[in-house]
Amino acid sequence: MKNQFENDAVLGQLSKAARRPKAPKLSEDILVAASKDSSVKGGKFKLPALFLSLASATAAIALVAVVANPAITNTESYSLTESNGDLLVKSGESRVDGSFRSNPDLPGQASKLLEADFGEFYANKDWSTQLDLEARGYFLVRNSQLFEVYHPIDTPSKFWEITRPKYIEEQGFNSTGLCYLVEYLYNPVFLVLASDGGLYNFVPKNLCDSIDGRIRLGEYLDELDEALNELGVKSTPMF
Amino acid sequence: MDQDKFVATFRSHLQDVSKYLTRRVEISNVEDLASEIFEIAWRKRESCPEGFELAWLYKIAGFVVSNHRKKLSRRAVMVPLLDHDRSAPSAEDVALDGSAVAEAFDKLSAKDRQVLSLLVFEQLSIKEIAVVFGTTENNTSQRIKRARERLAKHLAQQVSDTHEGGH
Repeated sequence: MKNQFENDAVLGQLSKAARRPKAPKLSEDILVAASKDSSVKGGKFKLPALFLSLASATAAIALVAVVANPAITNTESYSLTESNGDLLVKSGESRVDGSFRSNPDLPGQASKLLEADFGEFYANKDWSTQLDLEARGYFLVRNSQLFEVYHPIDTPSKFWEITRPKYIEEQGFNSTGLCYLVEYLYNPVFLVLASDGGLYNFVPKNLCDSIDGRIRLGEYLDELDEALNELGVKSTPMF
Repeated sequence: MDQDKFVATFRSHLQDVSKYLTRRVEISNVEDLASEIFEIAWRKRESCPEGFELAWLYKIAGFVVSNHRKKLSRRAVMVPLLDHDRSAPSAEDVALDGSAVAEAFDKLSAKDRQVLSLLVFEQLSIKEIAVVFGTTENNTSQRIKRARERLAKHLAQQVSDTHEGGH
């Protein structure tokens, strides 16, 4: 503790009161095994080409297949709704090559985020794929711990990003996470890159409302997490 | 960073990660969670700030512990959305003795416990803690200072209560 608190009596007291943990000795094999994992590299994603249905009928997700370039070529889309206490229900499907389904409830959500000073948005110039042609805009939120806590999200790096979201900090959250909020046809969705390499597209029905209310968002995110668990997808926190 | 360099870089931090986890989770989970941490570290290796490898690992570890605890809790209700708070150790986790210090430490918010743990138990520098929290050194110093003041206040209260109880 080489800093201005080095000789602090209170912190010294805390230090003395703690017993040394009997931590198990970790083998270097852990490092070797970890560095063989190649599920996510270079911002490209594996293709979870199959549609996964949930064991629970109340939970639904949209599975987005992504090709190596990467361009979304196919999606089964579901929206988040509240029905009998369930937050996720199947509501429809569409294919991205015919464009994402436009949700009339969600126009201009990104603008609302901007109005809320959610953070700075940056255009991604490198995402020149079919999706660019289909979408009117993407927005990505970086350091949004609000979402990141519960979502396995990775860094495609070629998306848009946002730093130090003032809105999040004003709500009392730490800005340490990273996630992507992508807006297709003004329809905000989460792109969740799971540790299986799959990019899962979750469509919250009313994202901005959720952002404004921790409880609802939390419930949604919990449901989402459970949905991933049911799919056998191991949650991987990212930043 | 290739595999050899990755192993060489993080070899010396294996036990630090093990200790970090031991303070926060059941020992039986330490190896699995450590594996998870290093898998993430490998995937994110290009974003590792040079010279701050351990702090960077703790940052990942904070998320992993948070997720782990959340899975254990399996609660469908909202809990505070503070990732690092959720990875903060309790007095029991850090095996504080049953003294006033333990009680005072447990009275702190998770945020305070986390920042003090990184400073006192994990022995990180202010700069390293700033890396963990993704904030500035100044902000980190202030955070520590406030947490330290609250700990001191709780400690004083414990002493006062003890004296009153004795009379």
